[in-house]
Amino acid sequence: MLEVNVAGLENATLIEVSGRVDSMTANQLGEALANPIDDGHVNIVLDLAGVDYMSSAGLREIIAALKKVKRASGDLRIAQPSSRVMEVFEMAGIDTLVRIFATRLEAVSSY
Amino acid sequence: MLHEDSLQIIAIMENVEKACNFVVSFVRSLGFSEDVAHRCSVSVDEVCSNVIEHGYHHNGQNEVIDLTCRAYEDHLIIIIMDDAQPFNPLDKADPNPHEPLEDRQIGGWGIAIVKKYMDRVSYHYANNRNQLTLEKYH
Repeated sequence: MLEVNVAGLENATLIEVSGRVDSMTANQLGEALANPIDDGHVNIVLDLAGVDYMSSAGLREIIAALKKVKRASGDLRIAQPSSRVMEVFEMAGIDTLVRIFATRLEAVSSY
Repeated sequence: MLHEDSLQIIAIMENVEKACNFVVSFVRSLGFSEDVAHRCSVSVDEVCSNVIEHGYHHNGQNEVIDLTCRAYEDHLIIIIMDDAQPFNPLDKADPNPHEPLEDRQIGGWGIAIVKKYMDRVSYHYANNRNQLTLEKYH
């Protein structure tokens, strides 16, 4: 199970995820991202400080959400990825598609 | 060969973590680093979920996936076998990480991750079974 916390901020929606993002749990990440986007909140900060395990199923959800927010003229920005998650992002070129921030404050303030 | 252990799971997503935990325990017992254990776990997750999704089409309640781990002096191997239609996942080209977002498929990174995380990955079809062998060196 993933732990997901969602907070509506002034300029963005903060989605904080903790746990193991794998083939079984990635759909929870997908839902956590899709729900605010479908409600029109298209500026998203995804805080991954609590995620140390990311399989391709997690990448799929992030790329799907990114396509969705871009179509709606929004953005998805990522805060605090671990080195293991960052390695997977770099392999898949996610780091060239998404702005990545070392702290949550920087990510939220970027909107 | 120094040591061998095997596990059979029913081919449903709920069992993938069990397969990962089995491999992690094996890898840890050999004194490999936590980083290698992590890489093996993610790789097994990718391979098993691929088999369940694309081999058994999420209908594997009556099908199995067999895992065998073998330890050697300087490396370990993980063999993952299934009874789905013959399919070599290594035939497919890796996605392009430089592709612009609008041209990208959302998925397709699983086997690319396995190839990055493991030192060698090979496919065989034998005895009517798909067999993917992952090798990791000390």
